[in-house]
Amino acid sequence: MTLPMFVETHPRDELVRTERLPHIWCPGCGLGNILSGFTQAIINSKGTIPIDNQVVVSGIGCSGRFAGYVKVDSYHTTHGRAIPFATGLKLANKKLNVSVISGDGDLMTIGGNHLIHAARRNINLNVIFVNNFNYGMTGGQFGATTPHGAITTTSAKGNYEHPFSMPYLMASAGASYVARWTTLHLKQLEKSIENAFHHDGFSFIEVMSPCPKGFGRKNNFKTGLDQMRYFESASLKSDNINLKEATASMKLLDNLPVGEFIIDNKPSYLKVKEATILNNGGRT
Amino acid sequence: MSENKLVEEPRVLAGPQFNSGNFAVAEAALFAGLHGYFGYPITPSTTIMERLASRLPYVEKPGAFLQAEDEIASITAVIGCSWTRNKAMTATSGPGFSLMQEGIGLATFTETPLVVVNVMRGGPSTGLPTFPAQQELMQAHFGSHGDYMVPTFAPNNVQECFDLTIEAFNASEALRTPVFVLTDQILSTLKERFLIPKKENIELVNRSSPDNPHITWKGETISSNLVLPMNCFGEESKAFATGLSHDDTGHVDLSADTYELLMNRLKEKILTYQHLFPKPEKYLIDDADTVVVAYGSTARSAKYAVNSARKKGIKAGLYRLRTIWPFPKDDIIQSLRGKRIIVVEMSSGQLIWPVERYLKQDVEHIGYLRGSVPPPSLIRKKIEGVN
Ligand SMILES: Cc1ncc(C[n+]2csc(CCOP(=O)(O)OP(=O)(O)O)c2C)c(N)n1
Ligand code: SF4
Ligand SMILES: [Mg+2]
Repeated sequence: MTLPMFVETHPRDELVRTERLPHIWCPGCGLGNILSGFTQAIINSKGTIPIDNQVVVSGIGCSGRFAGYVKVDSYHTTHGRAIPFATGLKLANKKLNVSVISGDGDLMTIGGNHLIHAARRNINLNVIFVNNFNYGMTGGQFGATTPHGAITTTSAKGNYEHPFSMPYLMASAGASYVARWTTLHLKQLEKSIENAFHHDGFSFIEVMSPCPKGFGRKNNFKTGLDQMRYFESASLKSDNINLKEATASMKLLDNLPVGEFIIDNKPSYLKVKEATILNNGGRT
Repeated sequence: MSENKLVEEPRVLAGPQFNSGNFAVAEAALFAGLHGYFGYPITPSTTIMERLASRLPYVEKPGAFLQAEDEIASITAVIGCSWTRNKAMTATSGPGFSLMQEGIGLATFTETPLVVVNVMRGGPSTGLPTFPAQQELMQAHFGSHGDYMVPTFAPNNVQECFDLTIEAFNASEALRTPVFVLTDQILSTLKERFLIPKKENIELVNRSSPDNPHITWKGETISSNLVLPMNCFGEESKAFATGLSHDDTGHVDLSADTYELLMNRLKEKILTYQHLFPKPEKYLIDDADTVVVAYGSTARSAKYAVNSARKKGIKAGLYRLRTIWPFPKDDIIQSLRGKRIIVVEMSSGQLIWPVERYLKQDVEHIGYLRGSVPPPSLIRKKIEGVN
């Protein structure tokens, strides 16, 4: 590893397990931006959430390696199971601020059942859903968020399946905070993560992220930067959009709606549970 | 939630009880200090979950209860709960136990204390949901991919459902490992008298921590070289754990030396302390020519058969396993080698494997597959040599 020339420490080193660097991510990968935004959100929230109460849970995949780099209590579960682990943690220790950061394949394709149930329960978790439109770690196969028509190693002639719109799915499942950004929207993402930290209920943030190696190269984005340029030209802030239209085709002429789509203050899982138990509900 | 007015029954019930094996398992868990139960309904384990759903939130120091969306979620949430330094468990049966296997591997590799109760029913697949069987003995050992060893205890009456569940929690905490309790459909509903002992008469063990690395269990200090003190979440330690190969700090390390060291230590820690696990019951074996080897409900029938044979002057005995894994191979060799052996189980042949392997002699077998314990008369006839 060559050492950076002018700075000895990075302002967010406090939140990074620097002894684990260099990380495994490819050049041009969006995951570094997300690490940057996430750790900054932790720093910004210090006043209300002590760093020692922050927890990160990841599944398996390139995105799943997040847990090993962020310097808070963190756990790297099996493929698709970050949300159940996080649920067990949160229910057992309510003072923890539990964030799940993992990939589209992990959280939606193999782990989708846990994701929709967590949203339905409106359980007090923050999910940061890294959508790079493919299975990066295993070499670029399609998954449940891969755009229709996209080329992957298991859809050489174009994906003949159809992707989920994550914001639409999460909103209908019951998530009470739903936002979507790209890795270009670093400031908005940071703020959104802070909002999620302080939201009492299930928060879901989709972050569209370049994966030049697994997805980009085969789909007209030769480099990570090319996909960032696309994010810049296509994304459209649309907080009040009908979520049916919150698609992500990755096609040149289509919009990429981003924004904070849902902020609903309905009572969270823990709040309802506590009230039910205090009233001795269901037992009389 | 700390208000005691919610407490309808104390956390630990006192004195003599008349109830089922599943009830005893649930009460033992509360006795042991259970904090989190995560499960998915499946016969014949469900009544454990129902009992804890109505008990856990209402006792002093209320705990977490979740009816999960499936057994994969159940086992993984149990692991999550355990990483907050709280005792956690789930209970399931056949199909649910299959779904939990990947999570069980994760728990062994991240050295997570937890208890899984498998109330066995007939398999494979949906099989015989409401009838007993003993077909998960091998799955308890080899069900998840990779090499690992989960201590596995098997009660055969309601009192033991209580006692061995406590032992399971203690072993899991002392050795930082998942522990299985294998019961069966008969024990789940069978009602018997059993005693909940006074709290002060039962040792309860809590896992080690960096502040308290030297815990003792049954008078023995657990080596902190074999069982690493556990950093849990919310303790300002920046804890980390992964299902990838890792070094002693918990961080990813795929090198050959680290992996080999880790694998050997995980095996060693269980084998080193196996003498602290529940001992087999040896009934009339000293002078016996013929010994029946069995566990769980089947051993109740086998004991009846041994008694009937004895009345007829046949020197029969019973060797009943209470710890299945690690298999008590030294004891079984010492106690039984050279005798005529009949393995009886509600399976077409699982317990017979380790018995044959370690005794290295011919072993007779009753593999009963009729959704009930083999009747004593069948076992007695086998003992008598009448087929
Ligand atoms: C049960 C199981 N099946 C398959 C795999 C192989 N696997 C590892 S990562 C991965 C896909 C990850 O995709 P995603 O969550 O989108 O992460 P990315 O690498 O794209 O960030 C798969 C299928 C596994 N580890 N476990
Ligand atoms: S394969 Fe894709 S997601 Fe994985 S590190 Fe490389 S660019 Fe990032
Ligand atoms: Mg992906």
